[in-house]
Amino acid sequence: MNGNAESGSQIHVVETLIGIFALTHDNDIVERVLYPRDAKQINAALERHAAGEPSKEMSEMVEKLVQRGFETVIISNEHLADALRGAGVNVEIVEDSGPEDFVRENIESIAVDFRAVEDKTQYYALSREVSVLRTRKDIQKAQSERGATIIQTAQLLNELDKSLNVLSGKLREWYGLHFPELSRAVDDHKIYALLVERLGDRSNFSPENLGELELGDRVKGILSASEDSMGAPLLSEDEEHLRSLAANLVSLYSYRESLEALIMSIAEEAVPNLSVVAGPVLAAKLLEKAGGLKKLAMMPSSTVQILGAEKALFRSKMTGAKPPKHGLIFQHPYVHAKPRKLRGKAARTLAAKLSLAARADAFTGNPIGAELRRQLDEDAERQATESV
Amino acid sequence: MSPKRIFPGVYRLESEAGKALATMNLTPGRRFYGEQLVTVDGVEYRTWNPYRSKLAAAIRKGLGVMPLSRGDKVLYLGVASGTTCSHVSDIIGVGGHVWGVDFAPRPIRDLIEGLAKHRANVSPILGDARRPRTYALNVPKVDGIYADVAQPDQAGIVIENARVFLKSGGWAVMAVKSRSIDVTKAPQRVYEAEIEKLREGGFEIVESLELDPFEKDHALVVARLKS
Repeated sequence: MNGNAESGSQIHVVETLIGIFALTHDNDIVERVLYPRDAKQINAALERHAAGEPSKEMSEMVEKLVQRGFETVIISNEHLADALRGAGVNVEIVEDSGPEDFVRENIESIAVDFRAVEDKTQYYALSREVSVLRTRKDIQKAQSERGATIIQTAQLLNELDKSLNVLSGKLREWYGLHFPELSRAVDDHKIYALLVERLGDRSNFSPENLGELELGDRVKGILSASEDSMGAPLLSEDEEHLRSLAANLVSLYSYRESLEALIMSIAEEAVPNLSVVAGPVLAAKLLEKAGGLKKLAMMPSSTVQILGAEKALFRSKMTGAKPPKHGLIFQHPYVHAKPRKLRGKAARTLAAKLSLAARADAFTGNPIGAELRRQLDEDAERQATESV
Repeated sequence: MSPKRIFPGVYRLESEAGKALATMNLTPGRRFYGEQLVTVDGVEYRTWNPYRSKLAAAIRKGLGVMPLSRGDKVLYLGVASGTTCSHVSDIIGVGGHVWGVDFAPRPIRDLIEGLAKHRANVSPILGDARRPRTYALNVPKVDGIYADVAQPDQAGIVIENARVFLKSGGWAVMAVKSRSIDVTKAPQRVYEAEIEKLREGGFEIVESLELDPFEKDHALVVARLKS
């Protein structure tokens, strides 16, 4: 067969990194269209094929094949089918075709023979470049998919916190009728709920019972509060309800912990730089507020600085009150650990670093988070020693 | 101190401080995961910790035949951030190439930044080892497959990838983590079952070693595809 095919005969088409090849059953390469020797352009063509669209090269190949009288092409991989059909040719899929194996096995020498590259080393260099490019894109895609999850989970965490606060407040008020002193003795909502769930009536607040709950040095305060309480006796009907409310709160608090752990792991994966600079939970909250990584990355850092303080910002615009110094980023120790006087400045610095980190995550993928974090830490340390 | 060659590209360094496995550093002056750099007679070696790398553990446990050799093309399934891969890259040298596949974006990202950026013989691939066709374009036929995927169907994954990528007569190294296959069975029974699967898939078993105390409930199986 020297390419003078009869009308209606079949030809194998094989996709490679260097171009598209058409072969007969006997591994005779009858047509080829090579990609430019450029990883970016190769990758773009491969992406088009994967999306089911013909590249320029594929259309050229199909045109050549049709001119030669081939009407049906055989391929081994389903993913090329749509692209080929799009270029205007019949497609038959045969798994493990001989010609494809032949090309794969001899790809380095084929690449050299057809002058796609100068030598085998260059083929591997090109292949590696394409791999790195494609993998970077794949990672970015996987990360932006995870980014959507972050927003959902951060919103959930936010709502959960609100509900937990409201319900804990309710529990404190109701149980407070019976044991008002406990509210003062225990600040932590989760521990308060745990005490109500496990012990119920005030009379059960004994050193032995409290000892079992591993509360550390809080026990003393709780015990002294339970002596001579001015609360009313607890009806058993009320106790049952209070304990079941408390039990639900305890389980919600532990759910909150697992949700936080999930956010941390996703944030570290999806926005590694931002997570290092902001901490994973704050990173998630910033993304949620901004409405996505791209949006956060495109914001001026002065916007990032007051993200979450919209109310104060508009109040300042309407009434001429002082503008807010910080929004969500107040939660970062770099800001809230500073003396009040320095917080505005610290917020500006932090917002600038956060913007850089978000941009690296959104666009370049370069790992710059650790360096940004180091700059912030150094800065904080210097200021601490100066102020002493 | 004198480096003793155990296999091509693999050395044992001996000094007063103790003994250590090592490979010749392909990128002198650079280290990747906290390993030590030791220079002897102007040649720089990177120490290879058997607690961090199953291949090193197998060598310490008396591996008889080293399947990897200089110039090999290797498909590495479950490459993670490239600890073992960096030594594979040392052993196969400039003329060889290793394609590292993993399905988790984070470690692959570390692989790109940490290793692939600095070594021309390492290509990263974000892909699912259970679907070799999805990365078939980027990987040519290879001399060997190194699999450390910790999946229940590990042997099946190796066989499937061998069908697409392995030259006839090529080797496969499979790290078997018995607990990720079946926690209830005795590890030895799990190893045997995986080995049997490889046999049925057309492999000849060269040897298999248990990796304790370096890795608990792990074995390393070396096999060769019948030609």
